[in-house]
Formats: sequence, structure tokens, C-alpha cells
Amino acid sequence: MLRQFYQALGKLEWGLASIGAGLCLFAIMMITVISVFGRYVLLTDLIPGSFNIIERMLFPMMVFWALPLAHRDGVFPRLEILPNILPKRLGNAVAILALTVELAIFVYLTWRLSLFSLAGFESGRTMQLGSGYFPVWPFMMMVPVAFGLMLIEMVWQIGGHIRYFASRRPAEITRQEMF
Amino acid sequence: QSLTVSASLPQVHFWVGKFMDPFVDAIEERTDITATRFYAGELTSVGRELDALQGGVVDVAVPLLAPYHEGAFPLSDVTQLPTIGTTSVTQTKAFLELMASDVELADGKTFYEYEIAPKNIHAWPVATTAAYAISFADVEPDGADALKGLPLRAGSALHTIFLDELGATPVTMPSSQSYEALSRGTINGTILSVGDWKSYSLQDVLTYTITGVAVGHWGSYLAISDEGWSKLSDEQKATWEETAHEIALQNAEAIEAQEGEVRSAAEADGSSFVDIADIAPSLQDAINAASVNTWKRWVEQTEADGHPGLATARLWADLTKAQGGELPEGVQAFLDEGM
Amino acid sequence: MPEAISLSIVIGWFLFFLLIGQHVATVLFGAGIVGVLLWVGPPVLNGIVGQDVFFTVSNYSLSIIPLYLLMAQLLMRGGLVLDLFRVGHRLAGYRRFPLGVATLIIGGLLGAVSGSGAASAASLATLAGPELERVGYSRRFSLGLAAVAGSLSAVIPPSLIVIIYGSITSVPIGKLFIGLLGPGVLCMIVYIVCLAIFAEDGDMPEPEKAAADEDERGAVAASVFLIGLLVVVFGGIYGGIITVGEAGAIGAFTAMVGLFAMRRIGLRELAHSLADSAKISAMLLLLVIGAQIFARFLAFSRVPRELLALAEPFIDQPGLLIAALMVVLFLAGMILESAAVILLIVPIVLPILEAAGVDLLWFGVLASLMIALGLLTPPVGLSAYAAAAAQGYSVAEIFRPATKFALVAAIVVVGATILFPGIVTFLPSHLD
Ligand code: NA
Ligand code: NA
Repeated sequence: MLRQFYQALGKLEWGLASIGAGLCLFAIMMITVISVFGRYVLLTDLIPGSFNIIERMLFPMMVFWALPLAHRDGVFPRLEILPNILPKRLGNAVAILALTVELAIFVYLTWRLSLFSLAGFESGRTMQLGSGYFPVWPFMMMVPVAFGLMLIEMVWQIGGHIRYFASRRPAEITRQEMF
Repeated sequence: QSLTVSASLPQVHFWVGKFMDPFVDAIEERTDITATRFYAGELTSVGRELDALQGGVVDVAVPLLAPYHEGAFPLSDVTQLPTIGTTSVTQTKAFLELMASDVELADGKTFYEYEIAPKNIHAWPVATTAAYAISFADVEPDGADALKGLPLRAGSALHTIFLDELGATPVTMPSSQSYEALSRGTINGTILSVGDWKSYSLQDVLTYTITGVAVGHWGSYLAISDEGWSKLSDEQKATWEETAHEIALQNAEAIEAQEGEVRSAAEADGSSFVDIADIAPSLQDAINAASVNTWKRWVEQTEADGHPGLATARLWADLTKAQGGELPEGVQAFLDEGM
Repeated sequence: MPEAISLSIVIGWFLFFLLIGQHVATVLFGAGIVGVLLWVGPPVLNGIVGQDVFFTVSNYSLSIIPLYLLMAQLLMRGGLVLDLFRVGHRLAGYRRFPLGVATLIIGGLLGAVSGSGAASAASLATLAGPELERVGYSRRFSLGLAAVAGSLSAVIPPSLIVIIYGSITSVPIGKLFIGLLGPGVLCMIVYIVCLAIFAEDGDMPEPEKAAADEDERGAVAASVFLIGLLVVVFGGIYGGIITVGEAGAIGAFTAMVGLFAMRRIGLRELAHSLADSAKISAMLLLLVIGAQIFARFLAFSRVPRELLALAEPFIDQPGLLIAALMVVLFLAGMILESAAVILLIVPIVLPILEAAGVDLLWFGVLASLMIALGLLTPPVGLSAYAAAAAQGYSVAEIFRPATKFALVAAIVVVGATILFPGIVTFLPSHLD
């Protein structure tokens, strides 16, 4: 039941990253290419405000949508010397400590970020777009969502480590993809 | 009292070295307030000074860069409307008058009550910049047609309107990125005050500047959070207000002086400055038409967003003229007629 | 709480959680949050977090990163690395030293389209590792050489480290790219000399010449395409036609269209390339955000200013200052991820560099070079790890040859760059 929920969550994160963030990146590329084409070939600005669209909308959305999957896939760098040389059970205990502190930090961050985006929503926070202004708060809302998904992953990992610790079996090896 | 004072710009910028520092020096000397100063975005970044004040990160932000707070200070943009024959000194005086004005713009609220008070801060003007000029890199437009589609950098929504009306292609980017963009032709020019070139090394790349017409003057604030303000005694508050007024005027003189220095240095390096009266007639007409249309579009857009654009523009026009400035031909008629 | 105690707690927190293997970004968040909390209290901390997380990412300069990652991802998935290697293999004539040189040159070419040293090392280890072994190098040396060749991706522009350095110092990234070109090529030459000196014999017999490869003509075409791409990207930047960000977008776009036309990638590969580039960017940006929060603590603590006061005697001797900083960077690069090194150290030393009148372009190139060498050294050397992981071999063994290369490059290339700053500054000064 729990595992099914976790796997469904994984699919959601993959969807956010590959479809959502991927499309944002594709759009950043195309907007830039079209702008350069317009500037040199047609001598006109085909996409007014493209700088602001990339900076305030597409790039932050790409980053925050891809963040949960990057976290789940274990691409975040960390120093692995000590965890690799510690005896298994001690290593397990140390991992629980590191993850619990990480969870606490991200709970705090998620809470503050929720308040910040809520304030942005209430004040109708805007960004410049060409000669006018456009709401920026919907893009800010993505941040607590991303951090919230990471929280679930952290709880899941802590649970896994505690189970292994209790069953005295060796801990699951953390996935580490290289880039 | 101990206050945290923060600048998002470095000390070399005139709003920091020639406003923030002398202001804080004077306050520390005249009252028993002490201040811890932070520079160059250590604590607050450009355009996020209001967040820092409201979030309690700092007590005082100098400058609070109103034009970079995208959409947060809708009426403050009024100082960026095009004018003729204005300087930092005239517009600083006009801006001080605007902040002190008791003219009701909407819902019985003055400019200060509409723009500043609801944000839980107290604010005073720092000096406005010198006139924003239209400058080019390796291009000397010989007529209105030469501007068609020319990519020029716009620093604010208002510049975008102006460049758009001029027929150029507005490219929005912060000045910090314009050196690279100018040197590789991503943009062919920029709208910026000449005194500001120094902060971004633009004197090395800009070669031709049209003067005499101002694409407005940027205004910004000295701002203190309500919480910080409430900690001051009445006597301290009075000294604070008086000092802010005094340093703003000094700051304006310093900005005009820097404008002259940078211009002389650039001229010595072969950069040319041409008065609007001496450029091609078609170009003169295009700039004047774009100036008038900028007033119109700003008023329309601001009203459409639900803010008193027309009343603010009228007040600013009066204050500008009272200081000896002129409006582009056709602006007064538009303001009199209304919308 | 006395400031000395607060500072000790923050440093202790930082080292402890780094050592027990917490994510580096989390360590930065944690140390920064604890630091601000101890120094100025909760209200200030609450005001910092929200705005810093969103607006640190809302930065145009940093949006260049995924574009260069995308270009490299597409080329790898399109099999261009394999092609390049086929051509190099053929040109080297299946002989020992020439094949080693070819591997380094391929690493350099790959570096010119890729910004990260780990991905290149992994693909070179897979492709070149077994071949180098067949022509008589030891397994350890073969994989070490693949790691070295792969690490060139961080040394030859474009380089992600340099993009991050440019975004925090406002030094034009285009100038940094061009400035890195001289030292990057010099580094490659030094590696070729190292190859001749440090070579280790393996126990495999000299192979017979392999049968002619059917795909060889396709391989030549693909390699020509790659060179063409380089001309577009660097020609565009150096010719002053486009900015670095635009070059990244056009490079990725050209790679996408070209590879589609050559039927080397489909929508599936494109989707995966996009997702992976976004993922790696997200990882890097979380580091940038963490570093930003940590930098807020540094600002409140005034540590950088006290360091500046401490460094006062050295301000008149920039040479000594630089040498000391290079040692610090090399040591930090040994244990930390390269982006984290730039993000942590540059904000602290920036005031000192400015006071000493050091050219920030030159310093940025030098610092990036030094940090890139850390990709080859224990305990954290991502290129060496990637090469080891790709072939399931012990990373400790690979570190032995790789560290030798890194040390020689550190002394020769960095030394030459300090003695002759023109290696860095000559090309960018002709850029305008
Ligand atoms: Na590279
Ligand atoms: Na290392």
C-alpha cells in the first residue's frame, strides 16, 4: 500500500521532471533561437520580454520541477568517505542522523517558502514582462510544492534505514548516478 | 538605537557612496543612533529590498530601488516619463515635493499614502538620477528609419514602452549584463544616465549619445521599516527627516557633477554627445512622438491596472514645470484633455 | 552568545555533517540557517529564506547551464562520442602511444561541447578503456587516462564551473570562456607529455588490426558535424555575434536538428536528454541556493571583512596571495564538489581580490582550472569515480595515475598562467 503510493509518487516526479521541466528547457532553447533569428534575419523582436520569460518563469519552473526527481535519483553530491568505511550498523545509524537533520531543515524551508509564496499570492506579486507586468506568484508556488515532494522522499528513506537497522540486515545501497 | 542599514549596490554607486554613507554618517553624528552597514547585496539583493524590510532582515534599505521592484511601486514610475531640460537637481526637488504633496490622487489618498504607507515602511527620496539618455555603440542613427528594429536595452517597463514607440526593439536586461551584450552586438545601445556608465564600464563601448531629452529620471527611496521607525524617539525622527532632505539635495549636486565628469572623460576618449536640436529632423520628430506616446501609454496602462495614473502624471507634470523643466510637445494637451 | 562560540558551532556543524555524508547542499543550508539563527535570531532568518530560494534561481546567467548540458547530452545519446573514438582509433593506427594521444584529444574535443567532467569520463572509460588495454596499457592506467581525458570537459570551455563563477562575480562569461581556452589547450599538451612519462604496461598482448568498421563513413560524417558545431558555438561567441547563453541555445538546437537529420536520435532520446539536463541543473541550483543562504550568514558574521583585515599585509604581494589561494582551492577541490568550491570560496575572497587589484577574469580562469583538477584527485574526484563506475573497477587504483597527471598540471599549467597571465588575458582582450 505504502510502496504503491511511493511508486505513484515516483511517476509523478518523473512526469514533472521529464515532461514539465523538459518542456521548460525546450522552450528556453527555442525562445532563444527564435529571438536570435528574429534579431539578425527579420530585424525585429519576435518574442518581446523573452529575457524576463526565461529568467522569472521558465528557468525557475524547470529547476523546481526537476528537483524532486534529482533528489530521488540520488544525483545530489555528498562526501561518501565515512559512510563507505563505517561498519554497516553504525553507518546505518549515522545515515538516520544525517537524514533526520536534513528532514528538519527541509521542513523549516518548506514552511517558510509556503508563507513566502502565500504572501506573494495575497499581494498579487508581479514581474515585468515587456512593457507591462505579469503575475509571478504562480511560479513562486512551485517552490514549496517541490520541497514538499522532497520531504516525502526523505521520510521514506529514513523509514527504509530504520527498517534495515531494526532487521540487522545491511543497508540498501544509495543510488548514485553520475553525470 | 542600533539599526541595520543595507545597500544592494556597491559603494562606488552614487546612491550608496554619495547618499547612504553621508546620510548614515550624519545621523550617527547628530543622534545617538548607531548603524551597522552592509553593502553590495550582502544582505539584500537588487529589487528585493522591500522583502528584506518587511521580513525584518534589515531596518533600513538605501537605496530601495523602486524601478526594480517589478510592479510593486506603480506610481513611482512617473519620474521615468520623458522630459526636456531637466537635471538631477530639478527632478530631486520635484520628487521631494511629490512625496510631501497633499494632492489627493485616489480614494482621498496622497502620493505618499497611496504608494508608501500601505507597505509598512517609511520612505524619503534619494536624489533622482540625471537624465536618462539614448546612447549607441558603433551606430550613429541618421534618421528615424535607422532606429527601426534596432535592439536597444531597456532597464524598466517604461523604457520598453518608449523604445517600442520609437520603433526600436527593446531588450530588457539589467545594466550589469549590458556591457557584454553591447560589445557583441546583442544590443546596439542603451538608455542610461551618463553618470551611471562608470558603474558598468560602458564608457568603453558607447560611442554616440543623444542629449537634451531625458527618457526620465530614475527615482528611489531611503526606506525604514515601520518597526525600525517606531524605535526612534520624536527628536530622532525629526533629525532623520531633516537630514534625509538635506542629503538628497547634496546627492543631486554630486550626481550632476559625476555626470559631467564621466561625460568629459568619455568625450576625451572619442565618444560623441549631440544635442537633440542638432540631429536629423526625422529623428527629432520620432523621439518627440515617442515621448508623448510614452506618457499616454503609461497613463492608460496604469489606469487599466486600477491605479490613478492620470492624476499622478498631472501632478508630476506640474511639479516638473515648477522646477523649470519642460514637457515634450503635446503632453500638456493630452493631460488637459484627460482620457 | 559570544561570537567566537557561535562561529565554532557553525564550523563544527559544517564539518560534522559534511563528513557523515549529508548532501552538500543540505550542509550549506543547515550551517547557514544555524549561523543566522545564532547571530541575529529567528525573525531575520525567516525574512531571508523565502526570497533567497526563489530569486537565486530566477537568474538569467544561470539559465545558461542546462543549455550546455543539453547539447552534451544529445551528442552522447546520438552516439557521437563513439564515432569520434572510431575516427581517432583509425587515425592512431592501433598503436599504443598514438591511441593514448587520440584519447586525450577526443577528451578535449568532447570538452569543447560538454561542460561537466564526469559524464565525459564515464563514456570514455566505456569506449576507450578496453581499447587502450588492448594496445598494451595496464587496466589501471587505461581507466586513469579515460578519467583524465574526461576531466578536460571541465577545463576546455564551455565549463559549468566558469558559468557559476561568472554569475556570482559579474565577470562576462563569454570572456571567461575565451580566457579558459589557452590554459585548457596547454593542459591537454601537458597531459600528452605525462602520457609518455607515466605510461604503465599491461599484460595484454598487442592485438591484431581489427576488421574495418562498417560504420566508419558515418563516423567521419558525425565527427565533421561535431567540429562544425564547435565552429558555430565558439565562432559565434568569439566573433561577437551572440552571447554565451545564445550560443548554448543555438548549439543545443543545432545538435538536435543535426542528430534528428542523421537519424541518430528520436523523440525518446530528446525527452531523456531534456529531463537529464534539467535534473543535473536542479542539483547544481540547489547548491547555489544553499551557498546563498550560507553567504547571508557570512555577511552577518562579517568573517569576510575580518579576513580582509587579516590579509592586509598580503595585499601588496598579490603573488603570495594568489599562491596561497590556489593551495586552498586545490585542497577544497579535493574534498568538495567543484561547484560547491566556487560557491563557498569566491564570495569570501572576492573583497580581498578586489582590494589587491587582482584581475577577476584571470583569477576566475585560474580558480576554475585548479578546481577542475580536483576531479582527478582523492577522496572526491568525480571524473575518476565516473570512470571507475563505468567499468566496475576500483576507484582507489584509478586515483593513482590520475593524481599524478593532476599534480603535474597543477604545477605546470597553473605556474605558467601565473608567470604569463597573457595565456589567459590575450584572447579575451581582443574580443571587443
Ligand atoms: Na568543456
Ligand atoms: Na578531488
